[in-house]
Amino acid sequence: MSEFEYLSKIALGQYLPVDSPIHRLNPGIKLAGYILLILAVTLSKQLAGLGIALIAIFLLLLLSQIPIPFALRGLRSPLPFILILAIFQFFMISQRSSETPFFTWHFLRATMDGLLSSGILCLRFFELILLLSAASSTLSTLEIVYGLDILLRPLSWLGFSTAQASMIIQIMLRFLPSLALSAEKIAKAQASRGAAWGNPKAGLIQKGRQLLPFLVPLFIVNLQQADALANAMLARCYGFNQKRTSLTDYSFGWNDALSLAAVLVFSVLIVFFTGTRFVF
Amino acid sequence: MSALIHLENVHFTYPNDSSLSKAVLTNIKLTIHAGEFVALIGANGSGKSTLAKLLNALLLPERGKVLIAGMDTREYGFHTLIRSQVGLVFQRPQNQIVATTVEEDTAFGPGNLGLEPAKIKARVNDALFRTGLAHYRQRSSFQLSAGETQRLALAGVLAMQPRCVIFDETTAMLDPIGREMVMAQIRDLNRQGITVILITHLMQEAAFAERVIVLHHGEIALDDSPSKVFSNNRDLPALGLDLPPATMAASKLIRYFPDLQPNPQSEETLLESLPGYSGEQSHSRSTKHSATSNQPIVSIEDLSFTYMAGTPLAQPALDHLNLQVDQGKVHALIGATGAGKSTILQHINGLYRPQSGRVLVAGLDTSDSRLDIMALRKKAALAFQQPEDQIFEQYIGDEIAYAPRHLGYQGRLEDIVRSAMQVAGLDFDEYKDRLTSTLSGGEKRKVALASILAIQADILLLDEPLSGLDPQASREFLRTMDDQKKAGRTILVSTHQYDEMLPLVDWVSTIHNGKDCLHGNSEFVFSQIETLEEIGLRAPLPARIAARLIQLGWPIIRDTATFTSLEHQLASLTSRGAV
Repeated sequence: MSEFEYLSKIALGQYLPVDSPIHRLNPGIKLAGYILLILAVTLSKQLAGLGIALIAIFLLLLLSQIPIPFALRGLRSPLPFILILAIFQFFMISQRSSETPFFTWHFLRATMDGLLSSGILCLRFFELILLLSAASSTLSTLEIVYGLDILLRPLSWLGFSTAQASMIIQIMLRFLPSLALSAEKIAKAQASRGAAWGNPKAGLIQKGRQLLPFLVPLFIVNLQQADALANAMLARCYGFNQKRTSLTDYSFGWNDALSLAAVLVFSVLIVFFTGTRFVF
Repeated sequence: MSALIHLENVHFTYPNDSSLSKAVLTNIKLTIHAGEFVALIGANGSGKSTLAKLLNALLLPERGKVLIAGMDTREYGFHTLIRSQVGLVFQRPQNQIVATTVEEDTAFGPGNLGLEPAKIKARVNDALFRTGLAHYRQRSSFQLSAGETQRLALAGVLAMQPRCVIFDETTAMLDPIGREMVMAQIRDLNRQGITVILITHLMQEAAFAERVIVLHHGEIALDDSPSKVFSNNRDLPALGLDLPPATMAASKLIRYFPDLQPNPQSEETLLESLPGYSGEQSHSRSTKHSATSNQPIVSIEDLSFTYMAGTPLAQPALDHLNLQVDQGKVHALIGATGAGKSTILQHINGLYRPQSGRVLVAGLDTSDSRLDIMALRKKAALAFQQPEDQIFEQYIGDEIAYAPRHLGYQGRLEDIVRSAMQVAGLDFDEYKDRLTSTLSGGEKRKVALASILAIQADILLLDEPLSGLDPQASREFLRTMDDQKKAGRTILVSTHQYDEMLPLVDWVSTIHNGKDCLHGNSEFVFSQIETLEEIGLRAPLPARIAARLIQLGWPIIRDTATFTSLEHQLASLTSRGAV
């Protein structure tokens, strides 16, 4: 039992350093691919489309050698919220549906429409979280930076500083694990001096009251860390050259072209396939 | 030799900081030539880190001039060149890592210089090879151990191909062997022609330099060779400093060996200069040590624990560990970084519950689901590593009152806070309403200690309490610990700096790979030089002196690890006219 291991509870922001076909892709293609798939899953209205997305995602996890339980870990904390949303959705849609309900109790109605739509909601969230997990496991932070750099390059003609925007995102991602670690430290320091953290007997209100004196020092500690990091970056000459260069010369190969094509086909299927025909 | 670094009458104050309105640095005049090895020492808050940042153009002087290879740091156009020539390795390596993999992090600096990929690759290869990280290229940067993170921070600086590297208390978080490795690396760099400026609290590290600069209240108090600085030992305590252990040992031993060199450069030099024995022969004796008959107050049975269990990052920490802590004793946990010491302390406090095995603390079983955890935390108070990071209240009084407020207390709250502050060396009326954010490093450590003492627990669990403290603050801390021991408290302390703690410690457990592999009274454990070395620890200096003397034929008891017992024996041996 270790209720303080916050790091193990977040799968987001954790790069898995393995050498898989997905890991080897051009970061621009990877990033574009994830964005396309995430958009497709978000826009898809049909169960069949989401089913295809599920197949695509498991194929992706398989190819990138991410253990499924590791990818599912990110689901743990948002799960209650998703379920609450799903229940709301279920009754809302049922209420409005013209279908005959299979169950009624006072003013509550339950219809197949409602069940279907809350099922789709759950599935969509589930797939989005898996996609985000896969993205953060296969894209190292520097790859995200280079990926953004590649994708946003056209914007630089308009005077937009893509390098700075991507560095901001990189630092944000780099801070995720360290945020978890400092949260763990503060919670432990407070718990060992009598706060309700990790005390199974503490009530919800008692735990809620702990939140503010927890968030304030967390904020301060992270500001200090950010300050130290900024110093370290400046000391290593960050910010003088408009054009940063990178270790790897990312080129565009056959694998990249094939992957992009596969992602495009899947995205079209996910959004427009209804099981028997395409809807436009 | 040309002047690489030249400071003319430099003054510096931090702007917008009313609490620290006095100048941090005043009238600094300093010249450092290319290829020098300089140690910069001084008490906490004497301005060492500020000076380092001035040399790297991270801070600019308020008055005066800082010239790096002739370039004025106030000329913005020189900054790229200055920062690539003067590299800075900061106190906490984990705060310097920008990227998620080792290779990419090392490439960050050269990338900022706008070099071509092929050139960056060559520099990264070279830097990783020189720091021994060549096999870790693709490793995720936050999965490295403390020592490896330290080396990565250095690799990132070396990839810039600097002419000078400043190390700002780089070894503070490392175990003795890790510290020695970093020191060896630093000396290697210097031999390759790189100018080194080493900021440290450890006098034995400063003794390796060619030149020692002592800062005191923002001014240069001493600037000389180590032998001159450390022979001037009357001034050092006033500057918040100490003698290096080898010099201190020599000053004690010179009474028995008048021919001894008073100022050995290193511990090795001291050991080699010890004289042979010419008195009557008798075999070196050894004493028997009996297990203590005391009742254990903490008892750990067959405890195993794995971090991130069930993930690809799973890391075993404790492996069927057995350990007992006797009431009223000071019990030290020693072992290399990552051996599992902190994990043990957090089990005793109930922050971790056993995955398998049992932990009994004053009769409470921490794996019991009905355990009254507040009762446990009142019994065993835990001070974390770097406790100053874990201060969370705005005012000092509130910070110290936090534990008694939440855990319940007897008597007036004010009295409890007052006495805890007094024991920790803080004046109640002066400090209670001060903001925690305005304290110096040493003061923060005292506040953290007082906030633990306010629990009035029977057992104190202290995790690396001496790391990052200057010699004077360390001495004050040890005095407080001694008072607590005399008051009947049980103290379980994990430490790398056991040399300093030696006189206090009764019992020692050596943790290696999550197991207790050697335990006994401190004289016994610390005299097992070979066993300690096998698990990456260095025996304390008096133990190594005793072993060397035994080797030279002196009839010294084998279990000798403290100066007290060593001096006691030498006094009786030399008074018989043995020398």
